[in-house]
Amino acid sequence: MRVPESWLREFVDLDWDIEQIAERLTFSGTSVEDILRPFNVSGEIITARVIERFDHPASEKLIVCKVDTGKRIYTVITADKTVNEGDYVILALEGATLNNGLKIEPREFKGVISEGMLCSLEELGLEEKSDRVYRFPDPVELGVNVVEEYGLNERVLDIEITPNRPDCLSIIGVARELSALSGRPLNKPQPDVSFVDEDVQFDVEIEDVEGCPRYSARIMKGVTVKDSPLWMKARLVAAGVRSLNNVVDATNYVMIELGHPVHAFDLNRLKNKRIVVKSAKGGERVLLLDEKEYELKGGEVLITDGENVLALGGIMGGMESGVYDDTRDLVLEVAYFDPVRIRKAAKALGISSESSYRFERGVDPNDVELVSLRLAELIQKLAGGYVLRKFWDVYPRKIEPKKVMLRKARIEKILGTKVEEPGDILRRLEFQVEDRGDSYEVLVPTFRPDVEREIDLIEEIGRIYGYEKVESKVISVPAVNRGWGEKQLFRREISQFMKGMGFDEVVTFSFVDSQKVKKWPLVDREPIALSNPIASDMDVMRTSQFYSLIQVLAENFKRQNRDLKLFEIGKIYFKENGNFREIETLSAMSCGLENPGDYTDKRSVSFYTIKGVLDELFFRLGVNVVYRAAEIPGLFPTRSARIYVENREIGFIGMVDPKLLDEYDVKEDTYFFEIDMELLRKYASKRPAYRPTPRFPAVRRDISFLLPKGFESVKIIELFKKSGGDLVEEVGVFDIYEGKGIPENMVSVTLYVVFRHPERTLTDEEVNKIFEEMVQKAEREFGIRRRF
Amino acid sequence: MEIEAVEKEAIEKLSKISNVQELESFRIEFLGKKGKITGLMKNLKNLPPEERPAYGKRVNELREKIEKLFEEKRQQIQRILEQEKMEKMRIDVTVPGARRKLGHSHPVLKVMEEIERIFVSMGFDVVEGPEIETTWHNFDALNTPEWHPARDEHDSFYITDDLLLRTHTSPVQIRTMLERKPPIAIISPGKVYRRDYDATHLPMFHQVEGLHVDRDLSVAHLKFTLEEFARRMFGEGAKVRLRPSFFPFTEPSFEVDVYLSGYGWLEILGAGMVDPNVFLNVGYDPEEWTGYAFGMGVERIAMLKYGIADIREFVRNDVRFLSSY
Repeated sequence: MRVPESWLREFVDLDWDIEQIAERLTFSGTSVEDILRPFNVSGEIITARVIERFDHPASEKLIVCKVDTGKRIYTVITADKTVNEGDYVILALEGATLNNGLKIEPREFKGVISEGMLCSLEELGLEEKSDRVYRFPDPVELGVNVVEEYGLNERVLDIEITPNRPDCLSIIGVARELSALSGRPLNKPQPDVSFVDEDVQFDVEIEDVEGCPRYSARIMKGVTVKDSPLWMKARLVAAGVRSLNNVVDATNYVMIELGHPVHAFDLNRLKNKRIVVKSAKGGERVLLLDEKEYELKGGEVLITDGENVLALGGIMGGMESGVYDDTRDLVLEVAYFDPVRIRKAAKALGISSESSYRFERGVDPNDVELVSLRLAELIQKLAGGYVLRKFWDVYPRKIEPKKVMLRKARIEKILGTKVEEPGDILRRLEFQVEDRGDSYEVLVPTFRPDVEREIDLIEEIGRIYGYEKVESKVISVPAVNRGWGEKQLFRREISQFMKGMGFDEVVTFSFVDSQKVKKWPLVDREPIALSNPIASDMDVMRTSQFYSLIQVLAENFKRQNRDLKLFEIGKIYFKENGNFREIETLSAMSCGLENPGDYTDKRSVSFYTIKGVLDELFFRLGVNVVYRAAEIPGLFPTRSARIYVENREIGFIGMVDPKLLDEYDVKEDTYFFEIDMELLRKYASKRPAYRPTPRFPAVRRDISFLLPKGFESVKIIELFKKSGGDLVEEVGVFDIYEGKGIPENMVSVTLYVVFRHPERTLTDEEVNKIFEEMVQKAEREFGIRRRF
Repeated sequence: MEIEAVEKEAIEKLSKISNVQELESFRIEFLGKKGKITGLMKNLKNLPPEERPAYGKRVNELREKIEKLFEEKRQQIQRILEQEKMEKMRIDVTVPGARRKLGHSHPVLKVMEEIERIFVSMGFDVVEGPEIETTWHNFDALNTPEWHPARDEHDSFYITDDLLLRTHTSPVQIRTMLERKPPIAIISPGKVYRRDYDATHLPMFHQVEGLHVDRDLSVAHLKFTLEEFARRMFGEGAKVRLRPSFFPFTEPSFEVDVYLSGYGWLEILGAGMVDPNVFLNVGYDPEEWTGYAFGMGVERIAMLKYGIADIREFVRNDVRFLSSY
């Protein structure tokens, strides 16, 4: 809402300057976002009259004028050859600045010096595009500075009005706020209209009373539709509205001033001389003033003449019944429409107008008469004509002011401070207040649809009283509170672990590209689609964090960050048996050097290093997992695995398919894992039990096996653990080697076994014997052989 | 005098010794069992008995002297050897270390944890809830009925007509109130979604919202909580002011500005007293209970704290950006 300062001051007489006004409004709930200067013009821009006009001696495109300002006569050159002797014009003199930033100075045009410039409305900021020098329609006093006279030095409050305050979508509403804040009286408009008695055949009927509880019409005849005077243009432009013609401008002016949208029809364009307000059935087609045709959905409030649709009630007028240059007689509509009905219709049709914006928030049903008179007064002033005395006002069920009880003790209970004379604050806001001892009985004016309850009144009192006067009081909270829960603490522990492992924490959008999910379905889950995505590549909720991390990785790769360790603890989303599920997961993606800052370590990330991270995590949490080779679309088939705990899958790991990486222009081997955080936490609750620190020395033996590719060496490890019995403390991998000296399609895997007896030192002989048996058993069982 | 000759020779030779081998040869030549000093003792028997004690004494003195000089020499050579060995092992200690990198926190999550920590230390419980929410929890229960213009303020991502990505974490407050009896003091951190994407808006961002319900809570308590938060988050000098505003779920409602030196007043939070309708929707008696609620955008605070101008930096996740946190 843009509120020109001069307009505001017409309704309330304040000592405050505009900055103080802005401050007081802002701290009482009417937030002033900015103080604007809508016109960028200054200096000597004055009214003048062309007294002589002749052709430019050297140019066919220019004319030379002698212009009288009442004090002096200036020679001015212009390209608008329609300028004539006797025209009243606006002359910008040396030192003046025009709206486009142009500074006026004497300038020579082909041998003739122009001492100033004849201005168009565009140059004054009053019109978006002008092609002519502005001519006053009637004689004006000469030498008057138009910047001051028409408020082109105006300042405008740019106010953000919250949706609960439709009353403040008007100059009078903002003035009322200032009246309440300052204690100065609110000067409401008192329209002065003279009426003519004339019989006319006209009628108003409301069929859709629910959608339109009140409809009034007034008839004016003999108006002249033309350009609005400058003061009107200046006001409207300052308020952010385009000037069209005097009648339409008057309707906009009244709407801005009083907050009640109104409409003018051309009486002679109504086929039947009546208004019937109906509810749309659906399927009707209407051509509105925005020059677009709409097909109605049904339920819209229609203003008709019984047969033809004249306007979409409360939203926009129709093209056919509109006011044009040839309009002589008017029907002035001031109505009240149901907010929800207007909102539904505006939303369904995708129209938002100044009118619908106000009606859907709620305008005053009981100011109709005042608004109608103000409109008639203004049109008469601008367009002449006469007003018929008869006023058609159909209002079957009057909307009465609400009565609300306000307990005095409740004010302090909510606001936390004692307010002196709260009743006076409400009275200044035009509430009627009766003191009933412990309570006030309050009658709420109908321009305040937001005030219905006691709490709404307390809010009014608080914001006008001023919250800076509330002293803070120390709180006490329930002692049973525990702060972070187990889930949050676990998440933090995992996050710390990952950072400790060198992984950077990232934050990514939860929605990803459905095309990628479809093409590379890493997890077999039904994605959840957004019905209104913000972009086509952010149209489904991710079924794996993979799709998010690969984007981060690729984006970094493009920016030459090529040694990457990324992780995210976030949610994945999917549909399951008709339910919408969201599960928190830990995911990590990595490529490039294992330790980029460490020049002593030239290793690249590998399946084994990223798996090592997970294994340490599982060890820390005491989770026993089993990896099983698996083919996972999006991961490389022979380098990926699913991870199980107690036969339940808790995640997967693998090398990203290079074909997929190509799509993202990533040229490094990349590895990924994803773990279900909820399952991880579930199994992690079984932390490792206490084991006494060993007292006797261990004996270690290594053995290398030559294994065919694809042989899962974990089988040997399991066998060793079993066949070695209690003496085997640990079995692990010491080395994996393939290449030179090893036959093709074979791998050399060196395992180590740690033997220990809890109560004595083992001898070499007994260990050798047991170990040899273990190795032979493995050879027999798996048909493999040791490597010497 | 043979003693003087041996002494002279020994001292002269000793002075020329430069390595361990020479040192050992010297020891054998002079101090060994068959060495020259031992040899001098053998002359003893050729001397008249009265001269013997004096002679013997002088030979012993010589031995002690040479042994002492020998020991000095030995230590000197030892030192040289060690020096040489150390020189061989010399490295450039000023060369940068072979650095092992710890991972970095994401600044938004770091700030979110900081906010959580403040409220946890003030005694609030931390609660979470689903991101895919029902419109009832996200809007209706929060006093924002279907045709309320305030629904427009949150341009939402819908999944079905009744399900959407939550536009704030307030539905967690509804869920908590439906589960627990008052009094309660909770905060709900988490991801929220709105259809907006530019230099100051992300379609997914983080919020921390708080709710405190008890028998006699007023705007004065809300003010205290926000002031205390501001002091702990931004420093003791931080001040708070309330600007009346509108949210459907609180009444009165406020935009909350925090004063930070060097910045001035900045809009950081929204807050208010819980609207009685919200209490009615969760079965709390608004006559018995009052409460305040507040909410803040974590990205906004992180931007202020770290001086980040473009909010999109947070989701770009450039590791060079992350490495500052």
